[in-house]
Amino acid sequence: MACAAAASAATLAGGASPTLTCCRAEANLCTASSLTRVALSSRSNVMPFVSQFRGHAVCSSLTAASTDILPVQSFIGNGRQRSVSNLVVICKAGSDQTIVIGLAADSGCGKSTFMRRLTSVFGGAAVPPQGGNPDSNTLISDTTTVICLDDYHSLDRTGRKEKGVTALDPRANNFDLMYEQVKALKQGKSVQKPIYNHVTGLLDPPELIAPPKILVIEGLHPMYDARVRELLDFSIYLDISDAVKFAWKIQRDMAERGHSLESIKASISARKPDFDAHIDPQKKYADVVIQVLPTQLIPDDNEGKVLRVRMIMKEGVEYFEPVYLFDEGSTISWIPCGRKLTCSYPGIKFFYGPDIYYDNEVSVLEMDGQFDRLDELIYVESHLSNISTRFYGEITQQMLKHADFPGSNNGTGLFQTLVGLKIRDVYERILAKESSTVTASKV
Amino acid sequence: MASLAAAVSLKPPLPSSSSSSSFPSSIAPVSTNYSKISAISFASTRNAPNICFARFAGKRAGLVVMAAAPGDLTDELIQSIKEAEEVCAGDSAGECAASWDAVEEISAAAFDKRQQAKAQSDPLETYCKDNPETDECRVYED
Repeated sequence: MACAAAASAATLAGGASPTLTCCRAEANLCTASSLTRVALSSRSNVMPFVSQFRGHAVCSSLTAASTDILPVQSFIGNGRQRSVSNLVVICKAGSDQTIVIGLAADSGCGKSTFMRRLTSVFGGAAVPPQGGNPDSNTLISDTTTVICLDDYHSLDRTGRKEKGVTALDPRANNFDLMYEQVKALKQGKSVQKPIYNHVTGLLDPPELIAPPKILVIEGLHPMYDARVRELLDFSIYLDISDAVKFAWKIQRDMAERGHSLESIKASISARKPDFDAHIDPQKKYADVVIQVLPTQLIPDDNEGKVLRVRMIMKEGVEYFEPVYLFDEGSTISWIPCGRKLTCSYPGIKFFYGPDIYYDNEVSVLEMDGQFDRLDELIYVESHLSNISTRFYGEITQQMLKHADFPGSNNGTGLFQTLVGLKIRDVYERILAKESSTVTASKV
Repeated sequence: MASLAAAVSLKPPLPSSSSSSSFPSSIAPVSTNYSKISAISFASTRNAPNICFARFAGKRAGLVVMAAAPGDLTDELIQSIKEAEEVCAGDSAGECAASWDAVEEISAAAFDKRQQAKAQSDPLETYCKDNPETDECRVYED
């Protein structure tokens, strides 16, 4: 590694506590780390390494995938070579990179369908941290950690009522803490993140969050603060139109005793001014905006069951290539139902074309209608391009896997799955770029 | 909220089947024979909450009282809605918005709890949905 020349040695003098020096190749600097976390790989040769140091710290962002302690193994563990005094720890750069994804959504944290689809694309189920606060909003899977930005509320429910601010107001959120902790996680350090308990409305004691490979921050203000925006590698805004929001809230709350149509209406309209002032403007910063609108296929439909979903993808974003139909940059309107495929009412209609959105060049992919059969889904998938699947039929497989999730038969499920695959693609490209920088610096 | 009519025909009922408001809310379901229940509709009125009329396989109808689960947010929700209506009758716009925001938060939390309760019904099924390749979830067709 390029920094081997500057690699300092740690002395294994008997009894003296060694400090490990870790080289991060991309920065070409060697920092002394005395950080707290050690992640052990399942390989047994790492175990004696740790025990020799009696729990002393290793590079904070060493994970099983990135540890490559090649020459070190011969020094330690077996006692034969205790006399060797030089120790070089090689950290493989690139695979300890954490990428940060921001998701702006109004539907609560972490338990939303979008999150579950997203984490499922990466493999494994995301579950709340074991053994911690049962009302924690965090979800953790093998590769992904989802953090709810409600945890950075500076005022709890009573505090907000006293001050007369909603949770949407930036005055109720601690952006400094949000920035610090997201930055720390991105750099590979663990943080003690506060917990906002949605059930009691209080701020609970913090929980430990370890840096994951992919960090998703979900909430109302991921792109509000400029510093946090800089840290995001990819950002998504979920824009639900008022009519659809109203229909969904009715479905959700009418089953609940206590709510009436008027109270649901009142709660939506009371939040609207703050929403329009603080949350809505984040749309222009997002790399992908998923807009959910009422369908145009059924005149006067107000049930909100059939949806028209538009995916607005910013052009020119690093590592991200927009999904397209037929040919990039052209405008096309497509109805897949016809001779090859028979669909039931109201059918499916696609649209793709370039556009300008808040002064940015974008490509818009739109789907109106519903899938009701498997072959419709696979037919549509085979005609979409730049979908970043690893094999033919991956989108269909993902949609089928979660066929009971809401939106599995329309554009919401399809585009959420697509965004999940795109994020995976962004992640892999960032990793590939990192490791090619390493190889370049070796030369 | 208007009471949803119970669309069930009641055959000779059990002696204590009057839907009075004097049912204590901690009665456990009187019958566990859920497989025989072919239709349930909820009669939800302000006076007699959580009582549903169940029709048991056409034989006889009984009264099944579902108690409010402990830790249920329903009471808190009703309380917060009342509070919000009171505050908004006053003149402070900010506090009005804040109190309806609290109602929204509690509704969301209540919904999540219901989803969780549903999801916890069969842990093996939920696990296998996400991890069909593990040993416990393999399906053999012989």
